Amino acid sequence: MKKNILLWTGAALLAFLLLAAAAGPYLPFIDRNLEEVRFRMENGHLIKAPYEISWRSPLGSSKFGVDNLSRIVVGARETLAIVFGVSLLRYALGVPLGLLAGRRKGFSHLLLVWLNRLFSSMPALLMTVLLAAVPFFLFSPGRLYWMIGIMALVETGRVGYIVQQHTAALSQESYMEAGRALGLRRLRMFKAYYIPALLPDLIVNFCLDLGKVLILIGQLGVLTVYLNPGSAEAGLNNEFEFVNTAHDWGSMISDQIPDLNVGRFGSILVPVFAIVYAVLAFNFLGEGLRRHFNGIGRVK
Amino acid sequence: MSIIALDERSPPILLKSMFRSFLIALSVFVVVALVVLIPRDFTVSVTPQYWIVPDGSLNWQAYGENIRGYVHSAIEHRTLGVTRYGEPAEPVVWAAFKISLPVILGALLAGFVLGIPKGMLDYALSRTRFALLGGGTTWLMQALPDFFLLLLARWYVIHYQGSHIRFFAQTGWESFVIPTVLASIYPIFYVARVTSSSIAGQEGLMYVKTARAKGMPESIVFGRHIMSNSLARVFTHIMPLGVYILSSLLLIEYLRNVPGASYRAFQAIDYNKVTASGGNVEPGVLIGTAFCFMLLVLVFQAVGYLARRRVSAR
Repeated sequence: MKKNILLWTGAALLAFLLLAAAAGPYLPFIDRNLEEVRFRMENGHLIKAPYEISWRSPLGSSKFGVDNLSRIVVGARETLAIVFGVSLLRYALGVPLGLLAGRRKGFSHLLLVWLNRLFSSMPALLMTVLLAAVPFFLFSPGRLYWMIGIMALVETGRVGYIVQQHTAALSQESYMEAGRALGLRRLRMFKAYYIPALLPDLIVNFCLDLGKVLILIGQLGVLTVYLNPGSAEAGLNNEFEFVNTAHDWGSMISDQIPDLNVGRFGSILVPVFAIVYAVLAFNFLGEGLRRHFNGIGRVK
Repeated sequence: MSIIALDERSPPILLKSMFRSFLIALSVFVVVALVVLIPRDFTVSVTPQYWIVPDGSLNWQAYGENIRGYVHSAIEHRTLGVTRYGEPAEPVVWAAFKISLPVILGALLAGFVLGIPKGMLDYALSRTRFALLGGGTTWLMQALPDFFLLLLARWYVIHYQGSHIRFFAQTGWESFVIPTVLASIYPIFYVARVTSSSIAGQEGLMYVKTARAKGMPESIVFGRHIMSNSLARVFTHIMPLGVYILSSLLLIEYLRNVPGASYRAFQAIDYNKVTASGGNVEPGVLIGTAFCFMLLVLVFQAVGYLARRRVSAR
């Protein structure tokens, strides 16, 4: 009896993550309102934020006195929602494109090649930042939705390419030929022949892509590019500064980036480790599912 | 990351596909230029409660003027544009590209030189109880976010070292070695995974069985038969690998504060959360950088194509 350890590990890690996102904010030691406690009394001394790691703040706090653990837990829901949104949209666009381009000719094939060429000459991360900086997206009240769309678009070509490769390989199979010989229509071919055969690979790749999207969110965080419409705060000389009002993990990184320049790594590593944890969960699950579908890890 | 297959084609079809490739490149270029030239102006209004409300809706007329003005000055002055400091963009792009190019090539080379042996090791260990040490580490290193490794490297080099390595060095050996090591982490494990899976794919094929049946020593079967065919597959991955390195370069340069091609392009985007004028976008630099990247990707494509033909012809 050989169990699929990867699958169970991945499922357990993800279940914990989802549980933390769903029920975490209601736990007694989580500050749901993310209050900024700039000073607090400890053993008769007045202590200024950021607070050291202690029982009162297990992961320390930001320099404004927001508890790091609370922010991770409260931000989990938002982060996961963005990640799933981007991945779903990416697959909703990429899978049909890849299916249609399966014959390696025609308009959809050209579009796919074109998309991939576009994002190789302007790497996906740079392109995302470039579009994020356009005032139309930057100041739009629906910025988060635009950003989800942009993040989905920049890697649609890659998803489409993978689907196209599989479709092209599948079309050589003899049962596909049988389907064509029966004179089935294209839509029916896709629905009854291609998609069931592609589904295992799609599910595996979808899991791995969840990790990739989360990494992209983290990268944008390191570059201090916000996903959410921040509120504008007045500064001097008629200028204004964007202030982050969201709690997703990427923006938590970007809030701590200034600390990096003065050599404080403590707080920034908290959201980074949260992202690493979630990415590993998605990857374990994806790899476990791959083994499951290949029959390697099945109980014999 | 984009992956484009290199299929072996006969010369006339190759010529046609090269022409098509050129057309695609040209249209990509136009689109990059169009995105870059979107006007960055916006209006700000203040409500009676002193809320500042920026309005960034797209002004089509300004957009048209922007494009017309850019094309006009590009033709008249024969330049891609000027930077925010008034210099012509081309030398600036070239200077930035020269900083990044050794790193890109070094990371690519390191990826193949170290990744192939690692892949062979992974395959050798895959049947033993040390499989986790081989394929497991490869898998783990591929899954980890790049910024996690970068931040750890920066933290380690700055805080815990006795050898006085300069993390932010722009000259000297560190200026090449540090970014190359950081950029080559992913490629090494990517190549290792591709190598071990393509070796596994050769296992049990007819020509391998024939060679073994003829009584050839295992070293020759592995070295001459299996590896030469596996390497062909590995080298076709040079292009996706190159594209990955190009896109991973931004964070490496950003966290090291080195104005290489990617970071210079990032600066040219002029994304700034403190918005005063917002007019420092440098279209020339962005278009020039995209051009350099595109050329580099074409070179990768050609190298992958040649390498594949050479290895498979043997």
